[in-house]
Parts: sequence; C-alpha cells; structure tokens
Amino acid sequence: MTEVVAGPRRHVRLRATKEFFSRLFERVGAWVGVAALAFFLILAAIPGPIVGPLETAATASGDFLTPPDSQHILGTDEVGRDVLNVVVHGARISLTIALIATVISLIVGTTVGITSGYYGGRVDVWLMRLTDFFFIVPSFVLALVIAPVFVEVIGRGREVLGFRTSLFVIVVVIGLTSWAFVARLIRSQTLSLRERPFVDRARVAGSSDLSIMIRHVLPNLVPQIAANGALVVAGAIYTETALSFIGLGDPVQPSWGTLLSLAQQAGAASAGAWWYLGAPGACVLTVSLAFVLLGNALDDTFNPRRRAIP
Amino acid sequence: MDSILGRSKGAVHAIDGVDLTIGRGEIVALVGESGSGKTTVGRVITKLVQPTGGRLVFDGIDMTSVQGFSALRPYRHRVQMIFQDAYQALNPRHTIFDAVAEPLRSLKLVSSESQLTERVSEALSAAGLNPPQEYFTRFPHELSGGQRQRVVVAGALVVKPDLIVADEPVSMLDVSIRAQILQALIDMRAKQNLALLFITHDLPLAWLIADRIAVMYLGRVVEIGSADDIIFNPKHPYTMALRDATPQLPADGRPSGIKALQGDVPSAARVPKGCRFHPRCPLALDRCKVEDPPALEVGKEHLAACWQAN
Repeated sequence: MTEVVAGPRRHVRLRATKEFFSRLFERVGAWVGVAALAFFLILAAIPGPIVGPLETAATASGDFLTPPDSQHILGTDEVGRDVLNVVVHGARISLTIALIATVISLIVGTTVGITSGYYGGRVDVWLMRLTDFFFIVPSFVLALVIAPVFVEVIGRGREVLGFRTSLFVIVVVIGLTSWAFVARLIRSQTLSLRERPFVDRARVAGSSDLSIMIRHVLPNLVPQIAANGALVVAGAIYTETALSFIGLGDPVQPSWGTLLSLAQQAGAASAGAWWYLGAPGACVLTVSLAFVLLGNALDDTFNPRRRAIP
Repeated sequence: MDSILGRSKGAVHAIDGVDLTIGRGEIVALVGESGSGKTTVGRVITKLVQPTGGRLVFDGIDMTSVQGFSALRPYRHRVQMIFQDAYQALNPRHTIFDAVAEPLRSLKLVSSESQLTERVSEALSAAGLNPPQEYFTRFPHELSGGQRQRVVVAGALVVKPDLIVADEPVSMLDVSIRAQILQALIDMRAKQNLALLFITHDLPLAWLIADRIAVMYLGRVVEIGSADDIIFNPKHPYTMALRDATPQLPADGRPSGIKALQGDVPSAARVPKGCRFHPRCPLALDRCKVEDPPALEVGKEHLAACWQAN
C-alpha cells in the first residue's frame, strides 16, 4: 500500500516541478542567467581538459604581457602565463568560494530568521540585535582582523576542506557578513506564516515547535530562500573579488579577484594591458549578472505580483 | 497618548466569567456576535492560548497549567479542533494524506505505514470524501472549498477524539455542503459518543444541531440552557433580541417585545460597569448600571445573567 501511495505522490511533485520550470523559462533573464552559469560551471568543473594544468611562473610559456594573438587568445601576464589558462582556473576558485559562502549564509540566515520570527518576544529581540551587529560589520575590516589570527592558528600552508587557509578565511568572512540580510527577510516571512491557521492546526495536531518550523514554515519559505540565495551568490562573488583584490587571496590558488590584484600590481592599467584586467573583470561581471538575473526570474515566477528589488 | 507610543498597559479580557460544562456525547452551541469572545473560548479549550485566570478541567484532570507539546499529547489525542477557514487551515505544500495523517504521526498513534493509511482512509470516508485514495496525493489548491473543509474535519476525526471544538465549521460553505458536513459530525457523535462545542453566530443552526445553547456577549456567557429553552423561552434581553432578529426561526406566537438593538458592542478594553449589556438593553434599570448580575437559575438547567430574568 505504501508503494502505491508513494508512487503517485512523487509523480505529483514531478509534475509541479516541471510546471514551475516551464514558467521560469518563459523569462529571458532566466535563460541568459542559466546559460551563463552553465558555461562557467563547466569551466570550473573541468579546467584541466579545456586549458591544461594551471600555469605557474615556472611553467609559463609565453612572453611578458603580450596582447592577444593566435597562440594566447587572451594574451599573457607579467610572468608569461596564458591569461585564458589562469582565468579558467580562477573560475573554479571564485565560484566555489561564492557558493560555499552562500550555503553558509543561507543556513545561518534561515535558522536565525525562522527561530526569531517563530518564537518572537525575547528570543526575537536578542537574535535581531545580533543580526543588526553582523549587518553593520564591514566585511573588509572583519576579514583583515580575523585573517592573521586564523592563519596563525591553522598554519599558512595547510588546507581546510580543500582550500588553502587564506581562502577559507574569505569563505568564512563572506558567510558571516551576508547572513544578516537573509535572516531579516526570512524573519519577516515567518512572522506572517506563523499566524496562519495551518500552524494552529499543526499545534492542535500535537506537532512540536521544531516540527512546525521544519515541516510547515520552512517549505513555505523556499521561494524566498531560492530567489534571495541567487542574489546572495552575486554579492558573494563581488565580495570575494574585492577581498582578493586588496590582497587577502592566495597566489597559489588564484581567483578572479587575485588576478585583478596581480594585474594591478603589475601595472597592467598603465601599460595598456587591457586583456589582463579585462578578462577576469568581465568574468566577475557576467557571473554576478547571471545570478542576479536568475534570482529575479525565480522571484518573479514564485510571486508574479511583486517586482524584485535587485 | 500612551497607546500611540505603544505603551498601553491596560489588559483586555477577551473572555471573562465563562462557565461552561460539556457532557460526554453532548453538542453545545456557543452563540454570539463577532467579538464576543466565542473563538477565544475555543482557543482556550484547545490550549492554543493560555488563560490568565480560571480553570480548564477535562475528564477530572485540571489542564489549566499543562503546557508544552509533549505534556499536551494525551490531551491532544482526545480534544481536536475544526477550523473556520479551510482555505487557510491546510498547508498549501502538504498533500491531503499528509494533512490528515499529521496528528497520527505527531501523536504517535500508529505503529505502521499500513495502519496509517487505513486510519487516514477511514477518516476521509467518514468526512464524506469517497473514495479516499483519490485524495491522497492531491494538494489543497486542487480541491473545492467544501472538499477542503471535509479534509479539515477528517483531520480532527482521525484521532477519534472525545471532544471536538468546531469554530464556525460551515460558515464559509454553500448551504448544500453545510448539511453534509453537519451530518458527518452528527454521525460521528452517534458512532463514537463524540462531544462537540459548536461555535457559531447562526442561531437557527445552533438550535438545529445543539442539545444546549450558550449565548455570549462581550466575553461572558449571558444565558445558557437547552436549545428549546433558549429559542422559545429566552430570559435574557440579549437572547430575546438575537432571537427576534432571526426571522428563520419557527415563530412561537410570543414575540418577546424587545426592540432591535441599537449601537455596537462596546470595546472589550472598556467593558461597561455593572451589567455589561446595560448600555444597549431596552429593559435596563438603575440597578443594572452598578451591579453585575450573576448567572441566575431561571428554569431547569437554564441560567441567565440578568436581574429581571425572573
């Protein structure tokens, strides 16, 4: 009997999901966003087969700062590395940092937001004061303060979850500074959801607070979480770029921000080496824009009556 | 001024002095205008709000101070609620099966999946949704208003409770569907000796379904007695006015001579001194302005809170 029930139920969800995607892809923004993201995700997933292993100063083959030609489509940098090679490898670092930081931010923000909105009262007041604190903490200052401490404690050359220490600091910093926005949003939605009669009904049915939050409130927050998650990724990519640009990145695992920083130090702007600054810069812009477009399209699809605030 | 600044301290007693007993297998109707506190009585009984005073005794056990979902489990098993707004009382993201199964799962009343399916089918059939399997995988938005209300009814019946608080269970439904839902409830009473607190503003409906009727005004039960006594022999001027304002009731040839009520129900934050009904009472005496009448016995099991009831 169970199988008989579970089968059609899965079928119903599948149908609903299909419907949702067909409505989502009626929007041009969704197409552009998903296409751009798919492109960069492929680059990030398999940089080796596309451009070969990451070039270093030792393995660099080209001349210094040559403009794009047939051999180096995006020119070379100040030590002769192929810019295309490092930019493609940078995609992996930049996207991974942004996505992991977003996951941290969504988990923390959603947990704090639901707890705060659901319990209200004193819990709400204290959690929201905490949120206010993280709202105003500037990510740069926080990064500058915790980076040396962190590197000292863990050790410079070590890897945490596949990241070298300094990159892990960036993940943590972005995660810590971006969840406050998510928490506020989720809290306001929870405030309205918890007054809905189905929450009263769940209580009369004997459900615990935790189960009401997970089984009744959270599923109704999926649209907000998905739409804003995409916007958080866009913000995270910017922050990662900026933090790397001011020197918090790791030269051994270069992200786009690190490349921009290196280009700036090499005097690419004054030397007229537009390809060196332009390639990683265009990537940052494209990916951020793709996530914003996707986020807005998701938001519009979930709730056509409300225009998204980018 | 204080209230503008959000510092208002005056407590509002939504209900005050409600003395209500419901016997096993009995149907008691709670009648009153909007704002008379009848829903609050239901929410106190189902432990959705904690009263500041008074006692709630169920089957000899004082439930007043019992709190927390695990301590309330045995009580939830025996006392269920039917909500007024079936559009809001079902989580839009849960299937009908999950909605009806929720109390069984959270109260841990079944030990196996097959037993769960059996109980859910039984409840859906009892609420008039046949064949029940057709509804398992549907979502609330795929059902009509009447079907949703039956799902809510099934969700209350599924635990086989001793008491159901029905808060305006049919007020949002078409007349044709009303009768079916009421019939389902009456059948359950016959089958399971179910007691029902039927909250409604509809006096003819109360007379039709209930054994006894309690009339509420501004947070207090002003008259309680058998359904026939309340309709044909009302003693409280408020009940008389309600009765005379309801032309569908069978005439007993003795109009009470009460004029239609003037004015609105006063705010619960400023309950009039003396009898709370005196500003609108056509029979008010000087005594009514200073002394609040207690519930006086005016007949067999018939109480009225009026100085002139005799």
